[in-house]
Amino acid sequence: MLKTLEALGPLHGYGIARRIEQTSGGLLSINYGTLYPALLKLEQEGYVSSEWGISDNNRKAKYYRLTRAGYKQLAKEAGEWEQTTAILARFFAPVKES
Amino acid sequence: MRIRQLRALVVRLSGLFGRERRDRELAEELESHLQMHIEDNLRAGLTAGEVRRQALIKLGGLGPTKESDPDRVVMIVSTNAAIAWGGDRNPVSVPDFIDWRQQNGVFEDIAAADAYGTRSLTGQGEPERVNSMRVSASFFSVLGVAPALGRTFLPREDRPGREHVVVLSQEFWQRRFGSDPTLTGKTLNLDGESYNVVGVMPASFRLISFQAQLWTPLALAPTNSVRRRASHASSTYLRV
Repeated sequence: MLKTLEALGPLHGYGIARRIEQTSGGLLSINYGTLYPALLKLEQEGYVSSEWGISDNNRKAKYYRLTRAGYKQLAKEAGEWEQTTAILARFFAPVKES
Repeated sequence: MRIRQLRALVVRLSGLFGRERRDRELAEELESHLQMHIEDNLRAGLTAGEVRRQALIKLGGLGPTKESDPDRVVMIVSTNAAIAWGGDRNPVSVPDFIDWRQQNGVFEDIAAADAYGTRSLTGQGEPERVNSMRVSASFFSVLGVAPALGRTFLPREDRPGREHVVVLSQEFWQRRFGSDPTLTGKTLNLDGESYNVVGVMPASFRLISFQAQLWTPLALAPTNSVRRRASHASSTYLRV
């Protein structure tokens, strides 16, 4: 969710869910019922902030944006994730030792 | 780091004191989400009745079950445009039902039941005239009731020549067969023909107008004659 907000800027919950589904090519399906508790938690942790705005089709919607702390947290978690996948990749890669 | 902690504290404190406001905001947020999803579903070509339901299912506000939702079942009647005054409520003709079933793109499912009748039960003990109904295979699922024992009809049993299967009411099963739990799979003799018992409905399954003791498949033969289209003899239920 943080990554989506970084890529697209301020977005409402529905937009975040759709973006994640689209980016994953439909492989990740968001349970919309868990979306808002997760956003609330991120907000309580200070990684996102929210304010009411107007959507593209003139509907009132709550928009979430990354805070400075959110950007930092995202960079930290992205780094950790890359490290984790790099380690795992070494286990699955063909062994080149002779 | 300090700003984040301060912001988090403010959000938590406002959560503590403004619970009512937060709940109201969340409700508004969910409604706004629902409306956006509905608009997308409409653009995707879902029918108006289905879009809100689908959006609610995805949001977790509604289970995808259909068993417990009798409000979504309607009974349809035919009217005759040639009759200009009241009392014009007729059952649906067989060809109309078959057409609607084939061309249905609106309703979840459609079911039909024939005019009520009786069957002669012979073979075991005293012969008996039994209230019965001929119904389409979809009848029980459209009305949203599962059998208490065994199963209801399969679509392939709802065809001429395959319809020698029967579902019993619980009352009839208790009275006539002593609630025999091994009755499914056995045969009954109805009007001189042999019928395989496949299931028993729960006692709660009753229609207001007529209490059938057993049901057999409607097994409609495809037909398209004008005369039969004008013959209004079956009741039709839709699940919307």
